[in-house]
Amino acid sequence: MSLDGVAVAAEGLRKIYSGGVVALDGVSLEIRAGRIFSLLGRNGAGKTTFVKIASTQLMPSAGRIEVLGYDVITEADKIRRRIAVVPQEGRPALLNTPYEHVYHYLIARGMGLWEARRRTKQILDVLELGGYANTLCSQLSGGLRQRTLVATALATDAELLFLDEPTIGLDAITRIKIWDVIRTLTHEEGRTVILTTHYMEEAETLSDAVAIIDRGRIVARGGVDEVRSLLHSSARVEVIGGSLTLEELNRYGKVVRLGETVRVYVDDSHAREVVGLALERGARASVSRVTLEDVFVSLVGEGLES
Amino acid sequence: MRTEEIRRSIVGVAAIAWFYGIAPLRRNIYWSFHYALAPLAFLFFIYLYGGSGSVGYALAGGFVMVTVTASVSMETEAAFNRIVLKLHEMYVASPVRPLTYVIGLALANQLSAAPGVATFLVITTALTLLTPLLFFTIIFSLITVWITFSVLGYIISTLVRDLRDLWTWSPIITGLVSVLPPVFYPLELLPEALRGVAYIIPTATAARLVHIAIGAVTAAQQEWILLWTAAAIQSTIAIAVLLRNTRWRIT
Repeated sequence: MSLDGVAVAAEGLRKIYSGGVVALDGVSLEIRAGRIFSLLGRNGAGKTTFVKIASTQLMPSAGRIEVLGYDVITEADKIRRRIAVVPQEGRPALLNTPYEHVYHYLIARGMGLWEARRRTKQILDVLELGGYANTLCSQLSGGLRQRTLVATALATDAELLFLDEPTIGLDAITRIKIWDVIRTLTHEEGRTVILTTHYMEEAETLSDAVAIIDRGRIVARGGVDEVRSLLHSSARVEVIGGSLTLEELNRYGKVVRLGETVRVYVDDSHAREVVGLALERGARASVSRVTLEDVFVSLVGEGLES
Repeated sequence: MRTEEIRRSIVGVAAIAWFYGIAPLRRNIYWSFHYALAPLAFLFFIYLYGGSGSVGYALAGGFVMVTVTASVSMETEAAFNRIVLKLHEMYVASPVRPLTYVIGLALANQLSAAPGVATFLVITTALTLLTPLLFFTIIFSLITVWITFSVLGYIISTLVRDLRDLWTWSPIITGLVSVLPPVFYPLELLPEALRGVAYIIPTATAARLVHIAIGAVTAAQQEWILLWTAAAIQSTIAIAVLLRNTRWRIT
């Protein structure tokens, strides 16, 4: 596996849990350093398992994975000095304050007292937690609690950050704030961020590269534009109701049914035609640009769970 | 380099102990009182039925029980941190060493026991029983109990999948090791064949040391030395078990 400029390199990675559940089924992936990489997938697709293995929390069953040039199995200590994680569905301790979370975690990681204090104040201000620095987490809203955890990981000097659904439950404005911080960390400080998310918009806006994982296998990977182009279509027509059959729509492009909604992926030139036909047959129809979510839906077959 | 690592580990232990121990304890001081309640009740009833001659056993039992209860509660703290808060994951994927984390948590839990231990020290002093030897023996015994049962608590915490499993385990363990063995009563009350428990069960070893140091029983120097050695060996075994079973990274 090449190491130069590569943050994570996995080859044939497999994880089978004790009950026989195959969480990762031969994942091979290369994640460039200094970039934002998003791993997308449905619940149970294997995203968190991959993050846990790469962040030295879980042993793989087979295959190889190197993180920052070190083997995850034999050189975990060297990796741990240079990484930090935001766990999925983590919660702060309710009888502690955001300041205590960030500050004590940095000290425990070995950071000097003054530097820890400086970084704690800085990240709390950036994430607009400064006003709540000394408020008990029990008195904070769900969003502020989640921000506390994110702040704890982002305040570290880790070269590689694993953020497992870090913006879940956050409002749009806070999410954008966190995106800004993540961008600064990568583009100005050269750190690498590996993100798992359910929000396609988040992945699309933020990522330099993405991979889509389904049932433990990588089904698409590359730059955002590259993955988007996998659909070979530029427009999405969404059709609801009416008497159109799938066979009729299939003539225009790839068709995916999501409950009562049917999505037809077409070229710009055919979009108008499909909309016209749908309206003629008493359906509601709308056209939009193809997004990452369309690729995801098309590859994985169903919509995202909220 | 090695010195720097040790310094960092000590600071790390202090940071974790402060975070999980002192900071929340300041906000909920009642946490620390419940550890002393049962031992104080035992002291009261033992004095009531056994008279002043049996107070030494009740005090020794009190010291040990407060420490055991707080140490075993480590299982809840560690499991809560792993299963509910998931902050454990943040420590695993970091330069924090497993031992730093476990000692930090164990210390944090023990801080809750401090008011209980202090209460029993005040009672021992008020009864003019406290001597330098007794004080040193109490400290040594409680440290060995703290190590052994914190390790036990931590290892159990790594095995459970639901916090509710622990609601039953804590009282069972505390009862089994601090009420049944000769902790609140003299070893001599047990049949001859069972007296070896004093060298095997850490709470019985610690309590026997305090029983002797407080003057409740007299013992040969040989037994005194054997008990100190047994306590030291028990703690060493516990640390060795911990080092092999931190389950820091899950397989």
